[in-house]
Amino acid sequence: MIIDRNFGGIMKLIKHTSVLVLVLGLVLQAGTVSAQIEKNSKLGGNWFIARGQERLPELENMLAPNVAFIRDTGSPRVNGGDFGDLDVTDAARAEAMAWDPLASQTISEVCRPPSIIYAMPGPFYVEIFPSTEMIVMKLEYYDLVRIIFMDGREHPGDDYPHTATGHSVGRWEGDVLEVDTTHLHKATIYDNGLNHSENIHVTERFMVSEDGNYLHMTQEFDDPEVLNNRAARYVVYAKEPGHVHPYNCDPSYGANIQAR
Amino acid sequence: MLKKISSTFILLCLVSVTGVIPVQAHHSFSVYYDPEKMVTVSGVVENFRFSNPHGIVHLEALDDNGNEVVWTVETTAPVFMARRGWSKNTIKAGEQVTIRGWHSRDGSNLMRMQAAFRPDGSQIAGELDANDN
Repeated sequence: MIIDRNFGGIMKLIKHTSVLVLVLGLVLQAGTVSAQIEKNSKLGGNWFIARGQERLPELENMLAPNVAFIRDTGSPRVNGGDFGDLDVTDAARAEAMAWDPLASQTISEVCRPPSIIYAMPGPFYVEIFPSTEMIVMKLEYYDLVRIIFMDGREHPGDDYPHTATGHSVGRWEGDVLEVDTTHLHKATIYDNGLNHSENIHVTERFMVSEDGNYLHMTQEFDDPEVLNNRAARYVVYAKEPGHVHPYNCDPSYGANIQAR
Repeated sequence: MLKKISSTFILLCLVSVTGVIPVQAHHSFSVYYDPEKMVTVSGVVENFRFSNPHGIVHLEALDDNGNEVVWTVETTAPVFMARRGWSKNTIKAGEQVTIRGWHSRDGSNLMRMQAAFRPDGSQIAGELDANDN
């Protein structure tokens, strides 16, 4: 009789504990989802390059030590043969020095999009549509669309196609969205003949300012075929009204330039 | 068409080269254009191509010796110009305009548009910046 009573008490305790754990789990999950929705809400919207903003130390400190900064954000252009602090490999330097700018202004080349390395810091709007499964970034420049998978998947294998936007996976680290990208096609770094290879590996970190008006981003990459050191850009965007417009690149521009 | 227009209008071809503050640019700007050399040309619009990556105005004008020439005037990306009041109908073939911009490095009749004006001196839509791309 005593054993039965104790057994019943234990069963009750287990039952109540299970319910409590379940409720706690649901509350914690709801809290996580709620926090993510709030972060997504701040990240979403239309953004455009902002100049003159101070960097966020907490974001800058996440970069690898001794990273070489590329200081052309927004649109300033680097002239031929000038690679800033980038330590360029001999092969990449030779290719860059042999670059013919007019050759890229043809009807077949002029609408070939640059990769996110050159497009993200460019002077064009970026509209972000976040969700819990993926974050979509619509770039006005060349109508590029980035999909950042947030579902924990891995990058695909080597035979996966290489494109201007590559393959991106992301995760939240506190208030920082960290995006890892591979599978980019070979494309310009500076628009002065220096190209990154298709084996470039990019880490971007996005953080919205406290007031929600600015989006800070670091774009860090390593590409041993082209660079002996790591490179990074620090980009600040301001939130803007409106939406990204269609770019709809017209290749006849190339014919006009060649025929002049 | 060029001769007809030239005989109809007395075209003032005002080509001036002046120093300006240096600018930095994006895309092909500094490959083709001298950021320190401005040029101003008055003429008749032959056509206006308003599509990305860059718009183009072909402008019929007279050079210093009175010879008929066609200038190629490149613009920033129309997707950007649209936010500054430009559209494909802002200027039309046959219109007389004056265009100021950055001259090509090779000295040819090529420039990058900064601003355009009607014959009465009023500015056409918004001014463009080399930084706009």
